[in-house]
Amino acid sequence: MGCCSSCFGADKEADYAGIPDERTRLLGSTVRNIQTPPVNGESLSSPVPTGAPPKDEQSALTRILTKTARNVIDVATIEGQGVEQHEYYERARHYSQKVSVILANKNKSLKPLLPNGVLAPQIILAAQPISLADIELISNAAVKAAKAMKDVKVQHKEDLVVAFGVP
Amino acid sequence: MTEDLKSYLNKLISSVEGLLAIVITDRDGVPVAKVATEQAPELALRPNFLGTFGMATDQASKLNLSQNKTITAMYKNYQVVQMNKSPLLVTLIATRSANTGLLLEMDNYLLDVLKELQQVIIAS
Repeated sequence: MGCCSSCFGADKEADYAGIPDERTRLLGSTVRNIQTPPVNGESLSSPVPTGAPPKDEQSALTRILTKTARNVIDVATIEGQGVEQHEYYERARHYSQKVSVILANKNKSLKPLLPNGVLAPQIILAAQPISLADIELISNAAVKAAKAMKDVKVQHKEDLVVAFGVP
Repeated sequence: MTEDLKSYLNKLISSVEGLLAIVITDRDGVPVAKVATEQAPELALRPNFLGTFGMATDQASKLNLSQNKTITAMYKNYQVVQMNKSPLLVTLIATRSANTGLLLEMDNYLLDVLKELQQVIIAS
């Protein structure tokens, strides 16, 4: 303790005298007097560039702190962040109202991608099969339609490319 | 029309054997749409259980493995698949013997529903 006070005392003396010796600081007193403002209740002792204005420094430090806080994996934050019961009920009621409004404005009804299941498949499986006459009728119609499609021919009458305004 | 949504979700529940509940909530676990069978464990339907995933998925996204999409938890008698469909969370509660792959595929069937329900959160 005695050593500390004598050191500080010597420092002061050297400063007041203005005579450089082994205790004189290499950097001027202006640097020493700049104090970093505390951020989030903690004083930062790391050296800061003296050229930048203090506001920029503070915003840069705040940015770094926010970024660090965002990147830190903090499992403890999971606990104790529940919603108050009254807020829960209020929000649930609000959502339910909104859902009814939004779904009421929706034209397309919600349908599953798969067809509806059948509870008694044996009834459908045991039903009368389609008669042979019906199958023959459909087959003949399909054959005739295919034949008609094959017979469709394009008659070439004029050029497909027509020149507009070309002399 | 809300009944339409409920019947759609009920059909989805019956399409996967062992699926007991589908709960769509906001980030805090407040339900936006909920359908559950009688066998669904009541504790797993509480907001503090459902909302935990919201925080867990945020923390899991910081592991330099890009954004977390799904967390599956296996219990002695149940399994819980939770999907991050920001701003919504989807929780599927099923029996332990249910096909987990089918549960993970359920989001394809929920796309339309989630698109509609997202508007509820965004508008709030």
